[in-house]
Amino acid sequence: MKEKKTIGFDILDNVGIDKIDRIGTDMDMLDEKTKKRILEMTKKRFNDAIKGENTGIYNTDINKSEEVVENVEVYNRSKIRRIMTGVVNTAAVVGLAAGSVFLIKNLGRGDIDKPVEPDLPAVSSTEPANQTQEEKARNQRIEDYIQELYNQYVIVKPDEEQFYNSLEIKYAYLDINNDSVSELIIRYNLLALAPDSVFMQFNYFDGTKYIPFEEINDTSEMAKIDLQNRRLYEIYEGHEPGYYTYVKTWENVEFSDNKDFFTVQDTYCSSMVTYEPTEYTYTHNNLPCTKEEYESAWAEYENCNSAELNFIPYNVKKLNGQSAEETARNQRIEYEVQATFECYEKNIVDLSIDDLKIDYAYLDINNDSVDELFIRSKVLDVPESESTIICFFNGTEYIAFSHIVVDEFKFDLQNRKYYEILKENDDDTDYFTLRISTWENVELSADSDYFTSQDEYYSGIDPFIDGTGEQIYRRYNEPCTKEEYENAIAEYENCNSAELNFIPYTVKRESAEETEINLTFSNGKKPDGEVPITFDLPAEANGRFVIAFMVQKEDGTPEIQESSTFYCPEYCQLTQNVIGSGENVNVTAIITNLSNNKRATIGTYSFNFAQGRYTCLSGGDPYTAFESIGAFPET
Amino acid sequence: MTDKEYRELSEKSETLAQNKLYEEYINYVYTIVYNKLRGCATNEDIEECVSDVFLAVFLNYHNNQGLDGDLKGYIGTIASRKAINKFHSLTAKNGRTVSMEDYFADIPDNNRLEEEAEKEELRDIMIRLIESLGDPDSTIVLQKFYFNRSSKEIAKKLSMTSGAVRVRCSRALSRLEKLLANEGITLKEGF
Repeated sequence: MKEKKTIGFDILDNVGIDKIDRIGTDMDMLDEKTKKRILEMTKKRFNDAIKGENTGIYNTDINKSEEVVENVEVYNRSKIRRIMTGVVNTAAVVGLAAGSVFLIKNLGRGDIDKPVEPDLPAVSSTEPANQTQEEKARNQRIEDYIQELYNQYVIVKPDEEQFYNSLEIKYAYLDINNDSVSELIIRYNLLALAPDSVFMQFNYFDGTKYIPFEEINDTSEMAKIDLQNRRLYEIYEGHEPGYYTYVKTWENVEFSDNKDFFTVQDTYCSSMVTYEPTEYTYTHNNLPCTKEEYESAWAEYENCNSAELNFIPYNVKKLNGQSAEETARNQRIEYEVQATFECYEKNIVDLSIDDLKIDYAYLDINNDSVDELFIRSKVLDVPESESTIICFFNGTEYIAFSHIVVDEFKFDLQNRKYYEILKENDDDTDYFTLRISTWENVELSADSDYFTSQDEYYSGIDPFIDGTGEQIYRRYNEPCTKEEYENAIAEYENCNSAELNFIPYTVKRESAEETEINLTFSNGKKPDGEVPITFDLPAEANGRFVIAFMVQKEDGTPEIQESSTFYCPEYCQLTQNVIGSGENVNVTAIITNLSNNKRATIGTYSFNFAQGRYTCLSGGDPYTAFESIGAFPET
Repeated sequence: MTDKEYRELSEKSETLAQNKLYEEYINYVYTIVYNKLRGCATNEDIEECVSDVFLAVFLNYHNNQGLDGDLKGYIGTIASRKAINKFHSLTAKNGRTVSMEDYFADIPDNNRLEEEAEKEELRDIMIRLIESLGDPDSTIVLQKFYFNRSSKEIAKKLSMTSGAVRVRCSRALSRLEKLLANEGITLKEGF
């Protein structure tokens, strides 16, 4: 007999690197704050290591042993030399990290207090029809740059929701290399982080697009371009008292991806080495120089023939006439469509976007005069995939705060109660859970629990709980009486439920050159089959009814298929299998009230018998049809 | 991300390249490190080790080292080595005995081959059965019982209610127990 083995989840420890993806790398393992903290810690250690690398303090070779070594002798350098080295290293770090400081005379800081139009990413701009190729390339480059900033910024400041509202983008032109084609200079300022976030990027036009060749950190206002003498001057105020002066020179060079634009670079530095008494040291390209040499470079900077740059604000707000809420709603729904699709595409072969059914509805559940958005998504043919996300609008975007994966739910707005029901029937279990949640006048937010208290009732036969196989009743995990359970069910059934009018959402299909094209060959036979269609019947309806389905045949004549007679309010739902052949067949559903022989059309549908699905072309509201055939007795 | 992409991005801005690389590989690195250190390290130790990994990668690139092609294998190797070093460092610090199995994991030993093969087979079965639960149940089970996340944390990540996570978790665990039983395996108490 085979020996029975016992294992725990620790069997997954030390799994090979080839299998590591299978135990969780798909999911975010860390919250944003932790991720940010680790990144900041790493960058700080990186910067320390780079500084230390220059002085030999840090060992940056990862292949060496990592044994902890204690009681190491510390080499104390003289104070002056330490400060000098610090200054030089700081200059090196500044040079490495920020490129160089490049600030233009009379540039100004821009109107920092001036309100900036909110900018939205990933929305195409509305441009005049007579745009030149250069203008198109310019706008594309600016948008690309904004996207790069966004990608960079969301990592550093993940909690910042108003990124685009605090982003100031300006651009200017200047023909730096005198080739009659102006270089594009994009300047951005993240107002929330000013003044440390002022950057400028220089781009040249290669005939088709703008290509960046220099990015500088614009933390000072003392830089100049002398076009006549082809000199660029930058002044940077160091952390230690003192200044760094960069003088860059260029020739008549052509731009290219692989060529440095500036051909010569001089760096002069003036630094205070002691605080008291005041004493300065001067360097040129990191070597000592005289005070006169330094002052001569400074005078050249001050007296140069500086070119002027006129920066123009760039407005990237493009809402295409939609309200912010409409835009946000559609973005949110598209996001859920993608998330649902990605979640299932791994497990369902040949899943296409057409297999998704997405509906949305509005309901102001917290009585703040702003409707919450409900998005119901379903993968057709996968019943358990149906779920509803509830989102609230924060003025800019819809934020999800609840995800419902239950079989039924109701909102009683008057009593601020939410009911949800979970059912399960299979060979081993048969249970029914009712959860009642209550809320107060709370503000919605992604981080807060919306519902303030919860109550839960359970009924079922569940061998996993006590193994008796008898019907049991529980409130949370404690036994309760059948009466208590039934009272809760009665409360659910009789509650004043708010109505949610779900509206079908047309899922956008992406088309791209890379899109895979599937060719289907006909075998000469028309695809045929049965497609079930389900109608929810109004609880208020009373009488005997029948629904006829008029299936339009290829020759245009209708074929009638009728449901069996059904009674309301005894029936709450009707499902009918419609039989036919073809992929785009019109079917009209007509209801007849057998008590008065009145008839009405419920809706017209397009059936695809090859793929077993249908879509509603018009109507589709049984309630209206029932109303028009006198199915609701007058009270 | 490939080596070439990182270098191209780095030419524009080293910070941007580092941020991109970090964002792309943080889950991968964290999972590898957690997988090695789960039994002996605190959260802080694990985070520090993750930081060690990225620091090593950043410095390698800064010093013009690195490799050609996709970075995943390279980063995975660094993460494994850093985690093993950390494991040795922690077990030595805590006065714990390092098991010979862990210490000589890379050295073939005929006496342990059979045992190792069996363990590998059980590991494969466990992963396969968890995967067969389907999303999001497989994720919930792994996050709950392997990564020790609370229902609230999982609910937040999956945009579900914590109640729904608990219900799904309980059902998924029952299904996993049945699936394991079909393979002649019992899930040990306390998992």
